[in-house]
Amino acid sequence: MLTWIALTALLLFSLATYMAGRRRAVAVTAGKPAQLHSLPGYYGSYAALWAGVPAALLILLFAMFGGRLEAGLLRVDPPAAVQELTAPQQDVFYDDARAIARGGTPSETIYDGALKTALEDKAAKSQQISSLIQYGSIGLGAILALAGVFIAYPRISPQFRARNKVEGWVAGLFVVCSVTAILTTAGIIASLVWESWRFFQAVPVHEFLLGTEWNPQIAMRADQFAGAGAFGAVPLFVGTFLIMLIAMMVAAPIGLFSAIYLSEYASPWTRSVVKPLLEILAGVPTVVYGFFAALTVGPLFRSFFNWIGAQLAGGSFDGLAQYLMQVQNQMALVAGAVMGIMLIPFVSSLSDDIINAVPQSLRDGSLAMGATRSETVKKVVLPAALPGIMAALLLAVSRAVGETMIVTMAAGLQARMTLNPLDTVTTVTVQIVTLLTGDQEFDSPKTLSAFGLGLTLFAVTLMLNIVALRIVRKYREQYD
Amino acid sequence: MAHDTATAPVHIAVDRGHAALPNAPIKIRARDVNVFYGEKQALFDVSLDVPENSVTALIGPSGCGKSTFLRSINRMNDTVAGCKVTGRIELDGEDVNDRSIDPVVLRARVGMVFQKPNPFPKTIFENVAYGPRIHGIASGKAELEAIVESSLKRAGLWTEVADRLHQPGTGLSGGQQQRLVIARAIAVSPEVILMDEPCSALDPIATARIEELIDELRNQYCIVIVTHSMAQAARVSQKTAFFHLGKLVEAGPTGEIFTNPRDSRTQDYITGRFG
Amino acid sequence: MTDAALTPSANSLRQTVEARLKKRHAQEMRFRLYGRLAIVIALSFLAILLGRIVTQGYSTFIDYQITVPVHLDASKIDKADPTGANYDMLVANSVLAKLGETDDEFGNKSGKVLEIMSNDLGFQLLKMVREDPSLIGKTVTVTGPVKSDAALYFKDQIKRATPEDERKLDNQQLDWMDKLKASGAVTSGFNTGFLTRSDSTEPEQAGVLGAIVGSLMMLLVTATLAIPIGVLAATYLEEFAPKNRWTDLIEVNINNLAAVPSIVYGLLGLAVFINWMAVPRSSPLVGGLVLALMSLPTVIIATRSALKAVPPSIREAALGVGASRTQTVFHHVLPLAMPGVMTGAILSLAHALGETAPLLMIGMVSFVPGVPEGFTGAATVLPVQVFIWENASERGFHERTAAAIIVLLVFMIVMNLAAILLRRRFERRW
Repeated sequence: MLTWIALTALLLFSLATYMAGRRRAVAVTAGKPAQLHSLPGYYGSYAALWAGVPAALLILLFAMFGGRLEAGLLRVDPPAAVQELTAPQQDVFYDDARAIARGGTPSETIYDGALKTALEDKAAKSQQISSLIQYGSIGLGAILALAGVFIAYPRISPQFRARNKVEGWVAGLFVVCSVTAILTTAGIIASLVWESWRFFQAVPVHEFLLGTEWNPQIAMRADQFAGAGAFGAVPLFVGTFLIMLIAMMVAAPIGLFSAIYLSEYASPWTRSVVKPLLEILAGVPTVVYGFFAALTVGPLFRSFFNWIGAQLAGGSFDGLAQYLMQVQNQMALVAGAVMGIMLIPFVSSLSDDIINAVPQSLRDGSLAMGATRSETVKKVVLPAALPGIMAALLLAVSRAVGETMIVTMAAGLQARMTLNPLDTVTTVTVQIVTLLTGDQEFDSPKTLSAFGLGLTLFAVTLMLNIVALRIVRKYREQYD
Repeated sequence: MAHDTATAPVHIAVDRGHAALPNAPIKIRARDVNVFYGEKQALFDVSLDVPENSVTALIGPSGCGKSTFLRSINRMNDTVAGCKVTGRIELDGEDVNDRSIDPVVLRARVGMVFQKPNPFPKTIFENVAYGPRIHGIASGKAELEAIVESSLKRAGLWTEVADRLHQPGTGLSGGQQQRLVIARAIAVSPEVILMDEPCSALDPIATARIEELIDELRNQYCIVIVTHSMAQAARVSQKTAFFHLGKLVEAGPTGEIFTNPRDSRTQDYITGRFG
Repeated sequence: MTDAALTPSANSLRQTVEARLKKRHAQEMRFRLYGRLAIVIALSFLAILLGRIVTQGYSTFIDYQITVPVHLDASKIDKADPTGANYDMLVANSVLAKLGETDDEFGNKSGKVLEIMSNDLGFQLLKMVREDPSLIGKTVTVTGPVKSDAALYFKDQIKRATPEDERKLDNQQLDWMDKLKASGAVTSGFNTGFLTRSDSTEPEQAGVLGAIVGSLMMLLVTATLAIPIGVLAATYLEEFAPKNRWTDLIEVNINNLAAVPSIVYGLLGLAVFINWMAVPRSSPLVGGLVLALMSLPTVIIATRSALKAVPPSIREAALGVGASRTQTVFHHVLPLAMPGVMTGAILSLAHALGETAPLLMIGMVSFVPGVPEGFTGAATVLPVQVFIWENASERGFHERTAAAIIVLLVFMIVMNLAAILLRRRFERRW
């Protein structure tokens, strides 16, 4: 709250500086602003930038990292009673102290005796430190703002190239913004690699990538965590692959054929109706597909297979019938099919773009030879568009592999090595969600394994994307 | 290039050896052809006879409807949404717009070459074999190879590509690509070949080769060529039709049109006053 | 030389082509049919999906309220400590009185009544008494929802035809409800509570207000971060940046970021924002930060294509009269590209609104029974609310899940319409 007030004050101060700088620029020319190198507004902006930006950055930095700073300072000079606690207990203790200081709700741990006094003491201290940080940062900000004015204000003279200086600031802002994208990637890679590295110290990489048994629950007991094969991710990869395969079997033909129909056959009117409708399908949040899969498609498929089982029961396929009668709601087929529906508009719009990029002259050439439209599509357009379509399908595969909500809601949790679409399987993303929701202890291999899975997922999808995007780029250049 | 020749004062030597064939049998007979693109009318009551075994050139300024007329002959206008054609265009006495005429058969009989070379992204062999394959013309591999070879020979491309038949057709030069496209068109042995400004994307040397080729092909096919270049029309055609603002202004033996036009608009156009 | 084979002989060519024509046309029809079929299948999926959600969810918007006069018996409420009294029992007894029944000594009947009356009625009484203790001893009238199972019976989703032991309510309870309905004590109406309450453990008291406010706060954070940063980054890359390996790397990087699975952004948020920067878990702030990073590439890509659509002649004209490049871009190019930029931005925000997976990573699955207290307080958002309710076992939550989806879809449709209108209104062809 205080931070916001300070920032607002700083903004007002910058505005005032702007006005003052502008006025001074006019004043130094003795009433002939035409002598100025730049428009008076630029002089104002120059002064305002110096006054506002460094101070604002400082205040924001403290607001962002003040909490960590405070937590660190709070641990200096621990009372004797606290020193006796184990490391996790100490963490809880300090968290509680900070929670009390902020009027939040502490954990349900019961402190008594020396610990209680220590807690109250630390809570008071926490309050002190945080207000010190807050007021300190605001004070420093005020000094910086004044210093900025003192730097910028005297420089205002008719020869001063204010516009170029201001544009320099703008250029800096530009670079900062575009670097954000790089920083995001770096952040993703760094956090995934760092946490995975911690995980791989507990579980060897080869065991994780090649092991065929996935049972992270065992790790709950600290003495048992590296139990052989408990973190073998192969069943998850198999499950992910199976669901992806089913999804692509639904999405690829339907998406591709709708793209072909829309770009080669449909009248402009049909296009103008169907395309927005497909966009709606594409815009439906994945959690809605998950709901649809779990409560509509799952029970529907289940009762269908159970019914078939009941019909076959007692006959020569009795084994199969018994199996079919026990099929559950949560089968790979349900998640895969619904994911396929989700991917239809994705495949269709990407392929539509690709097919439209095939020059009309090729179609004309084929039609003028007496080919029918379908022959033209099959023998000329599709072969020409093939690389692009492959890339579109790769992007769809990448989407399918990384899709989370549908599988979380409609696939199961049992890690199994099976390619039977009627079985319950689990996927990489489902496991990440399961491992990271609910109570977690951040240092256990169980939690960290989620980052191992995340890293694998990121690596695989990144590879698919890079390959696909490169193909698309080449393809577009070919017909540009 | 077309522009240059159009504005330059005209000194066109008409090859008298190609003198028009007034008595040649009529291959295509157009009567009162009107073409509409939606609300807009692009052709007005065009009536024109195209003689067999000769080259007929359609000339006129941009947007005059000459390409539209050409595309009506093999019904390529069907592919344009909102296009409507009225009147009769007869091929050997049959109306091409008749219900009984299938555009597939029509287009097999009437080949077309476009402004920009448009070889398919396939090998040279596959490009030429495309027509015979879809129409089921060759009965075996050997026959198909024979057709490809003789088509390439007729298109004057055989010597250049004989050793790289299985490389992509898109790798050829512009002029070679255009001859490849012509080879593709003649591989199905059409009766008529329509050419829509076939040289406008080519350099003068490649243009000369194509013009020679057109002259050779004239003996076996009825050729209709749209061109911007009057010099080209004069060089390759026996009959010329001048289009202006969607109307056929005048048509006649090429020599007459260029030396003694009856209509003042033709006169103005060929002397470079507009266009 | 096989020239003879090629001599145009009109009839033979015609015959060859015509011989295969029927087959080829049949093929053509089949191919076209496949295309039509694909479109029909895709669109019917859309229809089934939306149809199912509407049919499952619309009943949430009807609710059943019961109005009963309750005698605030002075012997049962301690004036000194009114919180201690069992108001639910008072309600149950009043309802029983209305039904003309008397409770047995074990409280079986009142227990059964409590199974069909929401405890919201009891809360209301408590609140009244707290505000005005003089009410004790008097009779007041309260109106509140019936329990969700009872509402499901009124909505014909729990049927009398079902054998008694297979449904949640027994015959006596059904009889009572029929009686209450017939007497006019139970009335139906539009369920405003669903839109004005927040999450609750009781389906009939659960609403989406908290989730809507949470979503809006989160989108505000996302928009204030992603749009300016994205637009500036795109402007730099499109208008200023030299074309070299460095900017090429940024470009490839942005395209790849746009295709990174959203759950990976959740892992990033967990590791960086929560564990490293100590931003409070499950707050709109951290959710907004994560979604801002996720939306950034899409905003950048949309902005770049909007900037590309501005013809170079505009830039040349501005530079020609002596404007600097920065002035050219800010005074001319960006304003012209703005409709396209805003369209792209709204669409990516709409996408962010529906995103769930990364939010699960940053702790947004907790039960939050109110409107978020601030940008750093615990919050829930619409799609996560859907996920939480879908997992709940009570049947009453199923229809609420679908209804929450309807609310979510309405928001998305509004945003998409805004984007379409913006595009239509300001679309400019050069």
